[in-house]
Amino acid sequence: MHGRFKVRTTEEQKAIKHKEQQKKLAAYHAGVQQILSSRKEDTYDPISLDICSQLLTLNPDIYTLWNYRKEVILIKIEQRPLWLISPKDPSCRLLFLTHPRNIDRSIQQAVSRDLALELFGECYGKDGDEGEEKLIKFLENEFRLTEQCLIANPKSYGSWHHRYWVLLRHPKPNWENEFNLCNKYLTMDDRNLHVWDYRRLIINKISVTLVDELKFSTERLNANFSNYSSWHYRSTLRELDEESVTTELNLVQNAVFTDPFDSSGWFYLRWVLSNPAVTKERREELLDAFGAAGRDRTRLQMLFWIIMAKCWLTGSLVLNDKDYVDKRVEYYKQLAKLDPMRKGQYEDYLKIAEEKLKKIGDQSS
Amino acid sequence: MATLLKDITLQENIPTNILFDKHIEFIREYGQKENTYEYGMTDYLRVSGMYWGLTALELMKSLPLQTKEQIAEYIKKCQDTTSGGISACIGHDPHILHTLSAVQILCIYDNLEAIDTEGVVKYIASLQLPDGSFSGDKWGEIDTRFSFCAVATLSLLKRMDAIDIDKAVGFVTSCKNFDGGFGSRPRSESHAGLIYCCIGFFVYHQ
Repeated sequence: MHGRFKVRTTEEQKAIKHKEQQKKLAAYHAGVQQILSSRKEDTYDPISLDICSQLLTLNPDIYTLWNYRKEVILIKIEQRPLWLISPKDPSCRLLFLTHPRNIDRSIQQAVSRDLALELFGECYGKDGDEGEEKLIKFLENEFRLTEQCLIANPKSYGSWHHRYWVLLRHPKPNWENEFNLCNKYLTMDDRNLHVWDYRRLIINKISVTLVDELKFSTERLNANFSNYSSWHYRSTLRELDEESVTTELNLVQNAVFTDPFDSSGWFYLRWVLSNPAVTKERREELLDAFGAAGRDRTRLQMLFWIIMAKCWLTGSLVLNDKDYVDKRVEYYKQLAKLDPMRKGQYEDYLKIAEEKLKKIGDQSS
Repeated sequence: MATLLKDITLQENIPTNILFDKHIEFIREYGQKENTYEYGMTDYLRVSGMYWGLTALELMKSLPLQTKEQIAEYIKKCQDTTSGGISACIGHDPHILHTLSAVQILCIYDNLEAIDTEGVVKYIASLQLPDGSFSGDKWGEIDTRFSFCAVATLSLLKRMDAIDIDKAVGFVTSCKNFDGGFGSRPRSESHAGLIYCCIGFFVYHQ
């Protein structure tokens, strides 16, 4: 593993550790075996479900165990008691339906679906309060488990997917609550892709306006410009037009001058500059601003980005302006010196720029 | 362009050639004597782990301790006859990730006939959704990793015709971001692993 020192243990310590590990291994295999052999179509073993929770808390990547849980949940959903309602007479809803193989004898009016169809003709089921409550309680337990797993490992695909899968089947899903959960996780690690993806799923379910999301994005960026995920998120919010392109340019120009050593702002700048709505005047303004900033040659890394930005700017200016192509040839040569690891890339661009320069030279002669 | 941290000082007398023999030994012995704990605890990714080890051995022109037949037998037992998909380990559930690994392994040793390849094709086709994306298994997680697994597997089996490739391309293309990179779903942040999968997808599509 990275960055871990190899600890030399005595033979005795090694032997003890080996014994412990063999015990853990045996318990793990026995647990999984028990769970897998308990899988049935319409019943489940609560002890196996419990063992499953323990194993997943230790390792949420055992994907088959999450699948098993989903099967159990489907059994629970299938077997919940329902009111049967006749569309012909909606007030008539005295019949309970339970799974034919699981009729609760304490409910005196329990009937099978077939009998109900016989008596009622077409009908539909609706959760009784009790049935719904029980199911919700069961599903809440699933949420608790995923939360436990996520605290231990906030990057497990299995945990996030299970949580969302359960929400989709929850009789009264609290999407707002999930939305707040996302913000809590973003506070802990605002680069966690899983959380951003999950947040995107939740947003589909609640009504959030573009204005809200822009506000959220601006707040995150103002709190910390050095956040690739926030810039990325912002880029997904809308197509830029003349008006918004100005807003974005101002925001990101401020960012790169405030925190020039972070690459994420620069990537966003490149994206904004690629928009044809950015005017020639604005590009020339930026070129001047970078020109001034670039004269401080002590900050090499910033200089690198400034030259890159000048390439983007001059690349999108009118190309038969000989002056700018000339400068780009210089820029690429400078970049190759500043960033020798990517020399090959700059030399490719240089070739293209020099060919353009030659064409212009041929045309004018 | 990223800030690189130098946290290692290299000694003077370090080897400058790859010690292939040591790597071969490590892989062949893995799970046999040492690392039995790590090996045992990672059975939930066994078939994929096998692929990583076996393909490395193959690149180093070496063979594992097990015979080709033994390896094929194990993989055969991992195929689910109902869905056609292949699981990471005997008794575990099928998944597109391990289905690809299984097919890759059998291709290395040229014994695809050990499994029901048509079953694999059916499984992968069944995982494609109307928007062109692929889920990893019947439980519905969507990810461009699975788009990659789908075309990689079908390419090896020469059955790309089994899926709607245009829709598949449409979906992966929709995952392209402002920075030119790709993510796991539309609007997901670019990530090197997913860029690998998406570019790999397009290579297979050519």
